[in-house]
Amino acid sequence: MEKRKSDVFFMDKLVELNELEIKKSKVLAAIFQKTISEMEKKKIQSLDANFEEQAKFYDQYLEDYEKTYQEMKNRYEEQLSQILEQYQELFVNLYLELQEAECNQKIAITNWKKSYDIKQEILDKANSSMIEEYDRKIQACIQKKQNYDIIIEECEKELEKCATQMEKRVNSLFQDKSSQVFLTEISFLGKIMNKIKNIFTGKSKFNTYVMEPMKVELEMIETKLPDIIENMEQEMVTFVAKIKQAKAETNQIFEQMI
Amino acid sequence: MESIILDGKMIKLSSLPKEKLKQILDRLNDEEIEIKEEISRILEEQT
Repeated sequence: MEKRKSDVFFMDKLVELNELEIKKSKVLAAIFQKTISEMEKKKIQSLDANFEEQAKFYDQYLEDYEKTYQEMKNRYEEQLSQILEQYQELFVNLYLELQEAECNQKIAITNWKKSYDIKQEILDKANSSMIEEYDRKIQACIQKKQNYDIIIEECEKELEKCATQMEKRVNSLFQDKSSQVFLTEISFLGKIMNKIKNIFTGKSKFNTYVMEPMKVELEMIETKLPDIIENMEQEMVTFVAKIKQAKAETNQIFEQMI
Repeated sequence: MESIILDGKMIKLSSLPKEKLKQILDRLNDEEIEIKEEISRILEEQT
């Protein structure tokens, strides 16, 4: 009776663990998705805000630049989406590896318990070689579970790295435009002077200091991004191969032990 | 709709701010450690 109670408790704990891991994966994905949406929104908002404020500073009508700006903004959004989608793909691939590892670990834990129970049942009836066989199975399952502890930890670390690296990389490539806004509080006289200067040089300055740098930055992003994405793909393939190798070695060790 | 049940209540994850989601994740991580320790304890006691 006591044994049955303990078995039910054990199975309950495994089911509980499984449910927790599912919940965790949903929350982790929601955090990642939220980070992506926030970054995308922030970058586009700062691009718009910077453009509007600079136009105001140089007394330029936004309508005059609407078509050119919209074209640049579309290209900017496209580049931003490309890198974010790549990180999303990386996240999904890493998560699949983690889920598989968690699943394999639970199988190892279940087999560990099963082997122990069978060993207890046959303890008085079976010969010593059969008992030794189950002892080996128990040890092999313990080893498998411990190996998966390391594999799971590696996958979790990589997932964390994916999120932090995404924020760093996107921020360095798509620099926050808000920081470039140089509109500060200027005196009334300063404003008058600025208006007069803008009549003569506003348009050319706006082109030199706003439109041209935006164009250059965009071209730089478009040049750099394919290499960045290629590197990311290579890193992903390398990591997934490393994890698959570790899983294969874990299975090999298990087979050798039993 | 991506949702989870927490403390008997269904929570729509997309409606929560990131900070709240991080708090939930921390809590789930702690619970996971506890369950894993309990499972290991049961197995170690038996072996």
